[in-house]
Amino acid sequence: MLSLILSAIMQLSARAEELNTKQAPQLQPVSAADILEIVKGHDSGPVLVNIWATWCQPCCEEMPDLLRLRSEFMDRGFKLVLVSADFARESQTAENFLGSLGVNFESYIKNQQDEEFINQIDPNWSGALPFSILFGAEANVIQTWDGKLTYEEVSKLLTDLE
Amino acid sequence: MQVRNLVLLAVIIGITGILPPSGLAGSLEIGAAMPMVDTEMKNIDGSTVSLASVSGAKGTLVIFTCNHCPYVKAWEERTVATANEAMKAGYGVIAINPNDPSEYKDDGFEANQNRAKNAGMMYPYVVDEGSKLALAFGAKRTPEFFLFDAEGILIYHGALDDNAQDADGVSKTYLQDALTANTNGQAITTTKSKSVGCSIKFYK
Repeated sequence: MLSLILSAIMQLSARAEELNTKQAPQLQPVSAADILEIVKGHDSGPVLVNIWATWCQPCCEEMPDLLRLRSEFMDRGFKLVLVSADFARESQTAENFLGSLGVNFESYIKNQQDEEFINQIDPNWSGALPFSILFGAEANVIQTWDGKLTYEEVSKLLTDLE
Repeated sequence: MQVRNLVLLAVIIGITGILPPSGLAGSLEIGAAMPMVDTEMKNIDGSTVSLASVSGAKGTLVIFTCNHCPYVKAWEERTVATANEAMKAGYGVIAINPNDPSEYKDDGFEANQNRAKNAGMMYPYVVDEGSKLALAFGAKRTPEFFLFDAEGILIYHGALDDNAQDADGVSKTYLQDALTANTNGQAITTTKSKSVGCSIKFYK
């Protein structure tokens, strides 16, 4: 009987943990300037800023690679900054998507007019999604991706930076 | 400029052996001539049309668009109204879908037909087989607008306006301003603009 109770408690605990990790993060509204401040404020390693949207298929396809990079390089100072470009009225959809992938770290949603946002993030960015920038520990731009990136290429860059 | 871009592209491919990221491939510059004017594309009625065949006395509006993109949908009513009015004012208008339908079934030919009908497009909506036009224009996203004058010179490139989410919140009507200025023989104040959009799903 005791073993049955313990088993039930363990199952409930595991379920609670699963639910907890799938809780949608509250997306924080940001401008391009806010994002650059976040990057400058992280001086312990490289930062990858990824601008994505739930309606963007390649964005959703690359998300597991981004989360894998975070998982593997976080202990070495790497920070992943996810910025949704979904419309404000779709923020819950974006939160649910991230929650379904187990994202439980602070993430963001764009709250700035498109053209200003695009040009302040990178004047060479066309506006197409996804878009990513890898910054070094001193907030220097190492590489940009105007399109989908892969785990392998970013992993190599991060390893080379160490 | 186009030749210079092609040379640069060839050099990059030659050095690296790979195509550059899309961000490096330049878009058509203001002042450039309309490319690939004689390329025939399949219209929703089964006929074929080219940029040359749709050009208007006042100029030509080329719209890279698709069926699935939320930004296209958010702007759809305003886009069709502006484009239909431009046609009445003497501009040639053409909407081009450059997406590979194997990537998005909603961007197939039948979906093009349904969308053109439902949206009330008075202008051709064609398939850009192989994304050839998009590559020649350096188009990156949908929706993306290129306006040419009567001589086929690019005079505006960018977004419809500055607010996809809310028509009531628009403060800059970029494309309409460019159309009006060109029609009146005036200089266009803002010749380039940007917006977030769906990346073009180029044919592989």
